[in-house]
Parts: sequence; C-alpha cells; structure tokens
Amino acid sequence: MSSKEELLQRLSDGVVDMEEDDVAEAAQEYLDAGYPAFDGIMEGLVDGMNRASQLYEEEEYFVTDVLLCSDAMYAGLDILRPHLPEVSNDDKITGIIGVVEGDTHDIGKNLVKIMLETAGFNMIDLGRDVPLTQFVERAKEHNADFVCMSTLMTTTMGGMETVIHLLEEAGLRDKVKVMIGGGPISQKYADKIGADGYSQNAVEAVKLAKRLLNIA
Amino acid sequence: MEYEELKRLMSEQKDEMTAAERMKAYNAGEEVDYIPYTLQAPDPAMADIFGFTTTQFAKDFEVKSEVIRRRKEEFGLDSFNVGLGLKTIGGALGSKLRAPEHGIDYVEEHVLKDYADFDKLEVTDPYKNPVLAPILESAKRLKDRFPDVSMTTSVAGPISTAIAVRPVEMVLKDTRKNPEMLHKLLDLTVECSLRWFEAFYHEFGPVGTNFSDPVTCMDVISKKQFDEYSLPYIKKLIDGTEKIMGSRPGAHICGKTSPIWGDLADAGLFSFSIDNCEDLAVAKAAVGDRMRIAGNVPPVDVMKEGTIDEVIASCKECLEKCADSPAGFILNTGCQLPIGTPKANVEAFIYAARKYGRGARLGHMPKGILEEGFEN
Repeated sequence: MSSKEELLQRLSDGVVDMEEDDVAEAAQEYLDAGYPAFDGIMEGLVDGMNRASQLYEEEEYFVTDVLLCSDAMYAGLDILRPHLPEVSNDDKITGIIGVVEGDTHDIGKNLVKIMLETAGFNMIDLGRDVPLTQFVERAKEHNADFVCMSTLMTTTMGGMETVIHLLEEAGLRDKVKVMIGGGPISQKYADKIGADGYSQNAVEAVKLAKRLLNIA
Repeated sequence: MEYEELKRLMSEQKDEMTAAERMKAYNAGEEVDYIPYTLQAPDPAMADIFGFTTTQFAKDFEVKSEVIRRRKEEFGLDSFNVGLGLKTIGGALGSKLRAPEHGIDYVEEHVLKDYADFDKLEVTDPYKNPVLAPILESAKRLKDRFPDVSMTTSVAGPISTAIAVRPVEMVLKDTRKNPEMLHKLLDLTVECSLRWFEAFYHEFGPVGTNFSDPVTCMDVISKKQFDEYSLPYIKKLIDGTEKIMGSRPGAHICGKTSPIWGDLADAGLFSFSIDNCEDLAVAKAAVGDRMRIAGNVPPVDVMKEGTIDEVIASCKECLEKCADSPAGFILNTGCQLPIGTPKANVEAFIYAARKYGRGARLGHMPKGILEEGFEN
C-alpha cells in the first residue's frame, strides 16, 4: 500500500499531467487508506493545480493544458470533498464571478475561477451572459467580498460600469471589491469606470484579489 | 485639439485619388496622395455613428445602403464588405445564434456537442442554406445599387469557425482527446468557407477576400496546436481562395501572434492585420518583406475612449514604425472598430492618415512623416 506522501504526490502529479482517471483512482485509494480529505485536497490536488498555473505563467502550459489539469483536479475533488469535515463557507472569502450580459465567451472567466478556487476562495460562478442585476443580487445574497466580471467584446464592456453603479445604488459598493478583465479591458478602462482592479490573466487575477482583500 | 480645429484643418486637406485609384497606384509602386487606410470591420460602429442599430444595419436594406453611402461620403471608405461573420457558418450548420438589437451576435447553443452528430452536418450551399442565401441575395442588391463601389467578401478562419459549431473548450480538449474528429470538423469549415467564395465568384467575378481568425492566437492555443490544427487549414483556405479568386486573402488575427507570423507569410497570406498588443516595428523586421502589414491603432483605449490628439498621435506612431515596410502598409485599427467610437475620432484617424501619410510609396516612409518630424 502506498504511503500518504506517495498518494499526495500521485494526486499532484496526476493534476499536472492531466490524468483525470488516475487522479480519481488515487483519490479513492487515499480515502480508503483513511487519510484526511483536507490534506489530500490541499497538498495533493491544489498543489498540482498550483504547479500547473506556474507552468502556465512560464508559458510552458497553455489554456488547453490548464483546462485539462482542472478537469483532473475536479475529478479528485468530487471524490474527496464529501469527506471533508463540515465547514461552512462563511469563513471563506467569497467572490461572485461571471461574464457580463450579451457575451458568452467564458474561457477566461473559467480559468480565473479555477485559479481563485485553487487559491482558497469560495467562488460563486454565475456563468456567462449574466444579467447585470444578478451580480448585485448574488453578491448581496452570498455576502460576497468581491465581484469579478469579464467580457471579450467591446459591445458589452459597458455592462461592467452599470454593475458598479448598481452596487452603489444597493449600498454595497463599499463592501465589495470589483475586479474586471477580458480582451478589450485595460487598467485605463478599469480606472475610468471605477473598478478596483484589472488583471491581464488568471494568475494575475489571484494576486490582484489577494492584494485588494489584504491577504498575504 | 478641439473638434472645430480638426474640421478646419481637414477642410484644407484634399483627396486627390479615390481609394481604388490609391490602392492600385500604391501596389504599382507609385507615389500616392496618402497612405491607404482602413478601419477593421467598421460596419457596426459606422451604423452607430449614423444613428442605426446593428440589427437595423443587418436586416434593413435601406439602412445598409445609407451607411455604405455615408461612410464613403464622410469617411472616404469607398469599398464595402458583404461577408460571413465569425458565427455565420456555425449558424448555417445549425448552431443557434442570438443577435442583440445593438451588439454582436453570439452562439446560444452549439450544434455539435457530440461527434456522433457529425455526419448530420453537410457542407453549406450558399444558394440554398437559409442563413447564407439571404446574405448572398443582399450582396446582389447592394452591387446593383453601388455598381462603382468595390465589394469584398470575408469568412472566419478555420478554427474560429469550428468554435461556432462546437464549444471552444471541447475543441481545445479535442486537440488532445479527439484529434481525428477535430480534423474532420476543421476540414468541413474550410469546405463551407470555400463554397461561399465560389458562390461569390460565380455572382460577381473576382473580389478581394479576407478572413478573421481570433481563436488562432497564442493567448488561446499553443504554437504546437497552431501547427497541427490551424496552419494546415489556413493554408488550405488560402490556396483554395487563390484558386477561386485569382488572388490571395488578407487576414486579421486578434491577440498575440508573433510566433506565427513567419508561418502565415510562408502560407502565402497577402496581408495581415495585426492586433495592437503586438509591435509594428517588430512585425516589419520579421515579415514585412513578405507580407503586407496593417495596423494597429488601439480600438478601445484610443479609438473609442481616446481624445482627438491621442488618435492622431497613435496613427503617427504606427506610420513611423511601419509605413516603410517593404511589402506595404495599411493604416488600420488593431481590431474591430468598437460600437460607440465617436465620429470625431474616426475623422481624426483620417486626418492623421492624410497628414502624416502624405506622399506614401510602397516600401518608403511617407513624405508626411519625413517632413512633419520623425520622432523615433
């Protein structure tokens, strides 16, 4: 039987190598051996995803690789998560994420969500083509700490500014940080519409979220 | 500068050639009044400037005619494009598209989520397909109305067309998990595109062609994926187009493209419209002798959000960097001209093309740049 360290290594490597089936198998073996699910997630799956994002940052890995790595990570999470001790998400920092109304390009949003989840944030994914009021409603409902919006199209970027106004009207603007991204978006645009931050890619988005929320 | 001053300065400028005459003379190596310019896929922004929505432009023949007439009159853009958008072939093959009243259409439901359905897809016939036939029909009516204005046509690149048929994440994963079916899908997209060009040739004779291929950039795929899944089909599209039309197409690819410039030139691309995230001077040095370069004023930060002076400065910078590119240069925006671009900024763009692009000649720095001060 494999030791805990060996299984953690196998989980981590399986994510980096995009071996979905092997990660699922290793996760099951890990549980069967009686090791704690939490360590399996953090030191196995998340460790692997962190290595993958490092490779992405170094341009060794590309979008496809990260997607396949995350498939492997989620395959392992599906098995380990039910065995976590009950912890409410209230303790976690919560973010709302979505692609603004009128746009269905969501690869970038998905990458950002994966990276933020990996970094330990509780992410509520509203999907794509999200009605603008929903960002506000869900932020309120989940008592969110930050809202992330993306779009790839110039025609829909104005929606981000609308959401910021809606947050103001709802009296939430002081409570939530707003991060934006996507092809046509720039720091200049973020400044113009009063967003708290812009990031160019998913790895930077994690750094930005941590900076905005004062997390070391 | 203020808008009034821009208008006054522009009234002192004169076009000596039509766009068609200018391009012909430029291609022949003669000096032209000023550098040829274009604005990337400007129709939605043009419609907006003239007070129409995207849907009115797309569906109302009279609106379309008026926009074409006014953009020629007011901005000197005397050619028009009747082509297929990024999603059109996807829609023609059965994907469900949604077109907002004022915005760009998008895929609501992809037709090919399971390759078991692949055999149901057939190469689209531009004369019979309910999505394509009306576009061809509208091209005929526009040509009748504007017999003297040159008409071009366009398609989307192979991999960009593929993601309007099958969701992008699936297509990307196919590159690892289902290469064989992805190759079949890409092949089908090229067949559909070439069939469109054939119909266009059949109706109108040889016309200029273009394809946009935003997915084939290094922000989305790797060089290895490009080599295996994009380049062979781009090559097929270029060769097929040349066979049909007698001339090679131009292309626009958004995003990071420097690693593939050499491949695009090798594949025989005639001209390449380059995103503003890339540097024109670097592009000129790399492939300027083999491929015409067009670019790359930032569409959002400068054209839509910038001031008149920022537009002018950006155009000047583009010319300084690339106007002497050996295979030629077209002043262009770095990507599609956004809806909401103010009319004044379009005019500032044209003003700068005339002023700094004055006395342009293929492979040489325009007199406008040389005489108005070179800052690089």
